[in-house]
Amino acid sequence: MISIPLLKQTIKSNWGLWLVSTLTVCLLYIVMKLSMGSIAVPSDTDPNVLVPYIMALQEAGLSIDGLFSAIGINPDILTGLATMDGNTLVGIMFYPIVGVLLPLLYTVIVGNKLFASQIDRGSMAFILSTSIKRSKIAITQLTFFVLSLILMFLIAGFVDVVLALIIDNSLPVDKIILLNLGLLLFSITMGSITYMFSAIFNYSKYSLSFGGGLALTFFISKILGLFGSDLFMTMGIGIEPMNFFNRITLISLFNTTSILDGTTNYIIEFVILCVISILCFTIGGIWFTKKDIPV
Amino acid sequence: MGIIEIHNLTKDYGLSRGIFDVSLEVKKGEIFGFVGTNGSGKTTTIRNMMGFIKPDYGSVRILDHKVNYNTEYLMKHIGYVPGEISFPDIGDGNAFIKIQAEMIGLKNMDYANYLIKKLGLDTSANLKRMSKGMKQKTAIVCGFMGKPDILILDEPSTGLDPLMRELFVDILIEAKQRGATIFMSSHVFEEIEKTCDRVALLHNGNIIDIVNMKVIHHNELKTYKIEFESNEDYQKFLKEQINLISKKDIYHQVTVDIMDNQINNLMRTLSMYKVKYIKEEKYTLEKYFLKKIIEEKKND
Repeated sequence: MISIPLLKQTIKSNWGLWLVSTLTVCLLYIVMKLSMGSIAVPSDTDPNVLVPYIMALQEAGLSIDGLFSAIGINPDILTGLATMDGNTLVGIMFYPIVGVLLPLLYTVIVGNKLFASQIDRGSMAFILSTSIKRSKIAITQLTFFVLSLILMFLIAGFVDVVLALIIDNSLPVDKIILLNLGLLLFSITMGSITYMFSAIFNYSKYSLSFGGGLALTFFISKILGLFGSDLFMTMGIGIEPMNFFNRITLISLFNTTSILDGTTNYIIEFVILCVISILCFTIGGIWFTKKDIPV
Repeated sequence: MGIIEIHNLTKDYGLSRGIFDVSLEVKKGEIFGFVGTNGSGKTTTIRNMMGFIKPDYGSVRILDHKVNYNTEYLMKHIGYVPGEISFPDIGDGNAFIKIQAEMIGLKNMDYANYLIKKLGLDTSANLKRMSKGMKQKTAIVCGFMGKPDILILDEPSTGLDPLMRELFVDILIEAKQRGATIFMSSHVFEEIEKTCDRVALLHNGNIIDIVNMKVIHHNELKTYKIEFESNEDYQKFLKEQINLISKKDIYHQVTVDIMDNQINNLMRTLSMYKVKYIKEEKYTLEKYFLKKIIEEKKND
């Protein structure tokens, strides 16, 4: 099914980028989790200081909600703020934004290198002039790509679980594992998209424009979509129409809110990610076996 | 049956680019040269032969199999040197040659090492920092090391210095001697003349001629340049029954074509003149080719 010498060659030409990406993901986890841990408990707040203020409002027959309304802030923000902690922030802001960044870069660059860049530069000639079937080339490249991502998140996930065990007030380990699994599935899906464009185009410029362009669109949309998200709406700083961006970004299928809430929406979304991956890998693989390769 | 048979091969890239109705046959044990101007379609023809691209019309048959995207099984008989050489980013020359040997299933590296030594290739150099010549040598080693039955070479001596070209010609002859069939494109006429049995001339995507090199080497029609001492002799000679190709009045020079069986007549005639010198203008493939192209342009 796969060509071992080709697999070796692909590993040799991509392991550096894989290592840098994996280490950076781990480093981001460590820095982020340790700093989040330290701000999770607002220890400076002394409840005794607050009591007189609340008493004063009650004596005057007023409520805190009324006070907020009077100064023009939606009182719902109180409930929002009361239920929020560092972990919610980690779940909603860190994983789908900071967490996806490195895998996005990795899949865009490596995806392009799997086919398009080798055809563009001409080095594919040395592979095609051996008796390795085109379909075998496609499957070997796919195998490398998926396995490298799995290994990346096995390592990152392991680091994340260790962090969860040593940091107080952390998210439970099962959620951590689910979040990393989600990141992995999303990364494989993004990889399948860059793989497909790399297999379709004979020039890096096109493969990168489509693969990288989509990755960038998804990433920026996720950030813009944040302003329309439930989290921002409850905090009173949301802009409802910007929720539109959440509907056009693939990152939304990595539903961290559902994972953290313990609802089951994320499962069907994981399945959708898998379906997209299979589709894109298949289209790319078949395309590669049925096209002119001018090397 | 030819080892390589090309029938009416056509790949039209529009704007009269591509190849049109190319047909040729390469016989077993032959070195077949493929010459043509830049952009005449040499590489396009070779890509079709390798099954990298599919023709719009016509076909390539190698070892009696019709070549297409899925004829990779033919590749175990074929050694290939690409026209544009670029290596994967996997370290030094050694690493590349080793992995390439694994890909073609080659275990015995004796011949590879012989080629490396012969070409004076430093395989410990990083692939990225290799000069054009070094890249070319590395590609030649990879194409030849498996001792394939068929060699398809796209301008294999590009970037080699004259000394290296000599060595490369040796390697080609060695391959021919062990029975390999070689198809080689080139625009270095010298190496084609030294090695090829037959040569196809490609111009604007069309084959304008296929010549047997014997015709070039043993051409009975010779060209001589003759310079006379005096203008009188020069003017007088011009009135003789000669096949004049060109003349230069200020040098009192004439260039004439003459068949070998007529040479004595010329000698007799010349004995009555005061000749400064006489020189044979060697008939080369390059001249033949230029003549053909000029004829072709007139026809257009």
